[in-house]
Amino acid sequence: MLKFFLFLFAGILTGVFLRENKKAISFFEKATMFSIFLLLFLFGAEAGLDEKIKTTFYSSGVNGILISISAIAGSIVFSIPVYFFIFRKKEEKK
Amino acid sequence: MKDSLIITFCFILGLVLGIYKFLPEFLIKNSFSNYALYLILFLVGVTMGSDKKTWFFFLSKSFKLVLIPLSIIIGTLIGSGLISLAIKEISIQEALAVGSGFGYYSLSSIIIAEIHSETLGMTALLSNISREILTLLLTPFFVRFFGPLSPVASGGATSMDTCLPVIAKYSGREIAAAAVFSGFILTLVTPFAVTFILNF
Repeated sequence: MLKFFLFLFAGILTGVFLRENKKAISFFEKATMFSIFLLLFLFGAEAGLDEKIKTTFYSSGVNGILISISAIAGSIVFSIPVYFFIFRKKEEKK
Repeated sequence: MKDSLIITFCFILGLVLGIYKFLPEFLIKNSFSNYALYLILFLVGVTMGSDKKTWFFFLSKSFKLVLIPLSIIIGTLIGSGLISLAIKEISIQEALAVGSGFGYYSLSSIIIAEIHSETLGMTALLSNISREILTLLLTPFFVRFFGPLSPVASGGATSMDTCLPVIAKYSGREIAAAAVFSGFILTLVTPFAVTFILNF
């Protein structure tokens, strides 16, 4: 876990130092997207090769959707008081 | 939106080629190493670190805005944790890891597939894609019944990019600005949260 964080922090620091260098940032943005495309392709390939995945694909989908619905519901419930606290107060001041 | 479609296409292409065994063996044996994941974490870090507008502009404007991503994190984790009680195959820890993708399906599913299992990676991918799609489809409904901030909460990390146009349209400009900040913070939190939860 420490290694994961180290690489992420190293990236953030590099990004902070390279802020003014638009060419470098544009290169890193393109490299990020390309790596994500490539890794998801490889993730798909490994998943496709795994016999177990074929049988669990349906349940993975159903479980995934259930988790997302519940996560959405939870976050919306907590966002309601925050909305009143931040934005309604501003409106009252106006 | 274009990137989301390309990402989904890449995954499906890989999946189909994998199922029909059309891939060269060296690719299969060497793919998905830890090194590739380290590289991607570094690259994502560079992109986040270089974004000075979002970092400082919003924090200097109002520190209260931090409450938005914070409430989304708490709500998402409680929601994901609760639903795991109803799903036999998934433990609380696994559900929390899937939920803490906050809609950032590309990176969260890659990390989960690498440090946990491909099955859970697949669940994370489908769950977080559906979070984005549900937000895109249901934003008018959410705004009407749960207030203008609700699609920002629903979209999670995707509020700053894919879901931003629909949020701006239905919730207004001020909320759209908050959506960019909240999405940015959640995008930053995702790799930390997923890794932390799975190693806990």
